[in-house]
Amino acid sequence: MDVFIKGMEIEQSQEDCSLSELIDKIEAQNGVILEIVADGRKITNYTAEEIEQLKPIEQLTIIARELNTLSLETLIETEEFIPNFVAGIEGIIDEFTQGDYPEGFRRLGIAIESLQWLNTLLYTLEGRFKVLEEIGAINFIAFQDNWFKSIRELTSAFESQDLVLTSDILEYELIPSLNDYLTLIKELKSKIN
Amino acid sequence: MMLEKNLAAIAKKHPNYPALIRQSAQGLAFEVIDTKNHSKTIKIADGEQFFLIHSKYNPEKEAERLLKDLDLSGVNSIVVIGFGLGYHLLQLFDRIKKTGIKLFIIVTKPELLKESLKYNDFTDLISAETVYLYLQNEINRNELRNFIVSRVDQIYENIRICLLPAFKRYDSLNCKLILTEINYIVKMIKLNRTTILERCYTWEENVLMNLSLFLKNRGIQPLKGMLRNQPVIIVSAGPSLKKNINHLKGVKGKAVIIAVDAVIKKLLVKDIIPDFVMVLDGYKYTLRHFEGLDYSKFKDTTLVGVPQFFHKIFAEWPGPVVFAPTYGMTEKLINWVENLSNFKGRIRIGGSVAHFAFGFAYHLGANPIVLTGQDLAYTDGITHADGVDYRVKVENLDKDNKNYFQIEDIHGERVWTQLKLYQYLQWFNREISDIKQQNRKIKFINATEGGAKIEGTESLPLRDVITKYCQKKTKAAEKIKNKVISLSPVYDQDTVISSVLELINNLNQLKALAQNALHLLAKNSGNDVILELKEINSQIYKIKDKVMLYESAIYLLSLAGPENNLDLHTIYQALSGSSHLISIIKECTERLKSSVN
Repeated sequence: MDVFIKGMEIEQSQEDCSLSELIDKIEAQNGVILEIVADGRKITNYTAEEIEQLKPIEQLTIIARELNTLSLETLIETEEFIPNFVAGIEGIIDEFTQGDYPEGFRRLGIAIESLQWLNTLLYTLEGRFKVLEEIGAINFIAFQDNWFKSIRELTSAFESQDLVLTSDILEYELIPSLNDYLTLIKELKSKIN
Repeated sequence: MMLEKNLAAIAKKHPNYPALIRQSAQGLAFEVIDTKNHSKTIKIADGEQFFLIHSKYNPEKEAERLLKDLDLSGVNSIVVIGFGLGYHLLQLFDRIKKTGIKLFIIVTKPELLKESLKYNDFTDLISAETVYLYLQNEINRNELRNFIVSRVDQIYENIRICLLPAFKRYDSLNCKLILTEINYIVKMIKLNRTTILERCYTWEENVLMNLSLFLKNRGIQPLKGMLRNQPVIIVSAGPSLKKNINHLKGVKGKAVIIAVDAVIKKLLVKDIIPDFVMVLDGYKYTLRHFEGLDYSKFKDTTLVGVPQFFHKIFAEWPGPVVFAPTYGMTEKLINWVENLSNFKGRIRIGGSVAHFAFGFAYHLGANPIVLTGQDLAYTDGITHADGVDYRVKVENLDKDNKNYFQIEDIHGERVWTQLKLYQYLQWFNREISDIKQQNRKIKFINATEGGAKIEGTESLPLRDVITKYCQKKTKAAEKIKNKVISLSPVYDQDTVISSVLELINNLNQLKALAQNALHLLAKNSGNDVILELKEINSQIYKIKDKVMLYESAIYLLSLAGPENNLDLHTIYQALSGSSHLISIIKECTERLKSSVN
């Protein structure tokens, strides 16, 4: 089996290793696997049983990143994303304030997906940086509380179909929280660097 | 204190409103609350939930957001729907108070208005000449329409709507009604503008050519109510006419027959002579209805037309002629003629000659008013009756085009129609509804036996209509004809001629100014030239008010303010327009003089 590992260096020899042994080796070196391709087929999400049932693999490609590198990439991406996201939220507030509800609802639907992604990232960051309570000027716990509070308020305003209140929450609760989120990301990025 | 001050300002313009505001019963459960920036907002109960009408953080900033994308370029009027606590109105007024833009404020829920008057000073806003307040608990469509229409230009007004979004929730029914009405007004003005810019040139030319006849013939005003409770059958050119045209033959003398121009040849083939023929559209294709027509058959038929229609037809018509001006068409010119003679009356129309016939029947006081050939749709896949020039088969139309769609017909089935016909239908629906609100006794019968369902009408075959309503002999049409013949003209020839000469003089001045401007533009465009052009524009602006023909030939002048720079297009329009009008008016003066001799 020809093995190609892209995105990080593996210290030990890869010869005669099975796929599961290769995965163990990568994880032991603080690596995160992003994609596995066996003879041109993506098998990243295969279970161990499914992998067992595969024919002998002739060519294996694994794309992996070192956790620190991956974290840095995510933080950079988030740092670029949040200002654009805030501009998008401003647009939604405009739509609701000017009474263009259909467009406001459409864009809010997209924004909620982004908020879910930011939530997931926040949990991941909590796991990754759990030893840190104070990150620069940000108290992580207080920030998290504020963040989830603004999400809850947004959901509640939206459920009551009060679009004036929804706009208020977006403008005066969520956007400041997003700005804090951005500060947090910048602080974490400088720590990794 | 603030409340009293605001109410006093309102009372000066609307004496009845303060009582309405003070006595307003609280239909809404609401609470005024403080905002985080120390302003006020209102929380309204909706079942077990509450909703805000303004931001609870910063309502002033919210008002900025509401208005920031409101494009006011070229706008003459803004209709604001919903008062709330008035933050948006104060900001909007601040933005437009020096522009001359009119502000119409439509308010329901006086109890909320009362609250708003407690917290902010609206006296400048309310007292401004260009601000019009309309306050009612329940919106009356007619009243609202008249409130706006009577204050705006029927052709050139550019109206913007600004809706307080929370109004949609706290008064959804009235909100829907107001929006429908305002959008209708906006659409009608656009339609007027398109039609007028396309056709006004011909219309004005026709009015001037008809000047002599128009002065001599009295209008419809003295005929008002002359057919009180007499049945009238309006014959239009829809494809269903073939189903019942033969029944019309026996109706003569038992009901008054009003025919639109497009159908007279068809009636003549069946030997049916209408009592009245209606002509509206002074555009060349309508002349086809009169080509090869045997005029001798119409000696006892009164021709009812707008003065914008072709002179040739009026002049050759063997029977009496009566003029029925409508609202919005070359109105300044009509007013000028009426000032020289007398008021001719007005008919409200929606764009089609069938509306014109309907308006005339209503003016005469007819009851019932019966519609035939009024399909407003492509019944049986055909657009017009046999023998009508515009007849087209539906299968030949491009049905992917959004202008064609299906609507409900008189049997509750679907029938193809076209946007313009649909707009005509909407006019009938609204007009009938409005009339019924004022006078419930009038019956409207749709005896078309096909086509679109017209709201407010009873659908009845023409044969049954005749059996039920047209059995008694009547001489009503003859009486009207005799009345028209007996009316004598009211005008002074010398006054008319001197007024026409003054008009020519003004047009000559206009022409000379435009020529000067053209010469200046040919020079280099230095600051001196710009200043001179501004001066010329200001002089043109003064003269244009004395020239009532601006709607077509020199219409651009009405759009340019006195402070604006003249552009080449406007100068060209002024020059060619005034030259053209001078030649027509000279011809019309000759006609006037020869009509006396």
